[in-house]
Amino acid sequence: MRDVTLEILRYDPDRDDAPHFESYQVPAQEEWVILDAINYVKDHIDPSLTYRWSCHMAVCGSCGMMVNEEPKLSCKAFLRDYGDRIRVEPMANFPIEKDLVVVMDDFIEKMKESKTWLIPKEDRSIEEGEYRQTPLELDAFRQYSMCINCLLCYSACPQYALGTEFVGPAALALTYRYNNDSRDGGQEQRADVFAKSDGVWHCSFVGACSEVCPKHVDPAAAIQLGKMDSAVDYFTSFVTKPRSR
Amino acid sequence: MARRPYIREVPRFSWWAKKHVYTTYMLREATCIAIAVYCGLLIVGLIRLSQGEAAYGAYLAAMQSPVGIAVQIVIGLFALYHTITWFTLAPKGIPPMRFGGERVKPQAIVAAHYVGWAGVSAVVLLFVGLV
Repeated sequence: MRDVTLEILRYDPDRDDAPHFESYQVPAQEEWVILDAINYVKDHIDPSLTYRWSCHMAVCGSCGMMVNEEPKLSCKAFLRDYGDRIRVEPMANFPIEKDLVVVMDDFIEKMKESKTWLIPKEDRSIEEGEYRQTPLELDAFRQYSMCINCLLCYSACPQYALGTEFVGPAALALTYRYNNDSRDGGQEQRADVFAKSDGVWHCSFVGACSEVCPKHVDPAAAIQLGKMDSAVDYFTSFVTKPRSR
Repeated sequence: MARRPYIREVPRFSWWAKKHVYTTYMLREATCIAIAVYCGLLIVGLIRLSQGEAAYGAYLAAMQSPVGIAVQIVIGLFALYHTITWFTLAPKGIPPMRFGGERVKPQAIVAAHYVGWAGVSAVVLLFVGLV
């Protein structure tokens, strides 16, 4: 057990003109994660503290926050890795709805525009059975399918910070994931968003998204490979019909 | 509760000074300026060569002066940083390759770049008669 001071950025749209930090003393267990300490604040000190969380095991992707200015899943950030004063803020690069809750509407729209779902290459009836795939075909995209939409990558991305027109790491990585699925035939439908200047070409390869990703998706790699696909499409379009990946 | 989302401003010009990862990125990108300067120096050398022996001799003398050597050492250090950082990133920009059924490891891709670099350097050194 040790006493930890949590400095939490608070913002109440009904009362505050701007966010401000408030400090809370938490008697913390050494094996706790940041989320446990925040839960302690809500349960024992200030029940009005607002934040998102659900699974507490790095699966649901809802408890993303800035911990000492780094984007982290608060359920995966252990207190033992931090000192006695820990600063917790809502995820950077998103508007603050209330306290640690951010507005993620922009990302939801981008996911819709990007068509990040399976668009089958061929229609099959249920009687015809499932779409089969070899382990090798699965390996082509499996890593990128691990995304839990936690948005830490958007919080880490300076390109998104400077202009939210950028489609951004997670939506692009997921587009790459479906484009490279052997069962999928939606590449052309996704090209308008993926291969445009606000898509993969907006990325200047800072690589911060991949460093903060809690699921090792490596969006930076997906985007660079997407640039290559987009460039190949552009040049091959002069001699053949575009593959539009 | 009324919705009134608060937007935090991002400093337009100093954002990269805030975090180590951003600063090293800017340094990596900025080192290309040093490489452009060196390309410029080589182009000047070609122009001086076309102007005759005396002009080219003066160019060589300038390049071999203490200031010329210092400039080339600084450019060389920037080029080294540029090369190492880009080699480190190379695995992210190369489509997955398979060898003997196994995916080629990122470390192998980086190592291949260093081998290629050493090979090209050896050819250049042979060409200029230093080896």
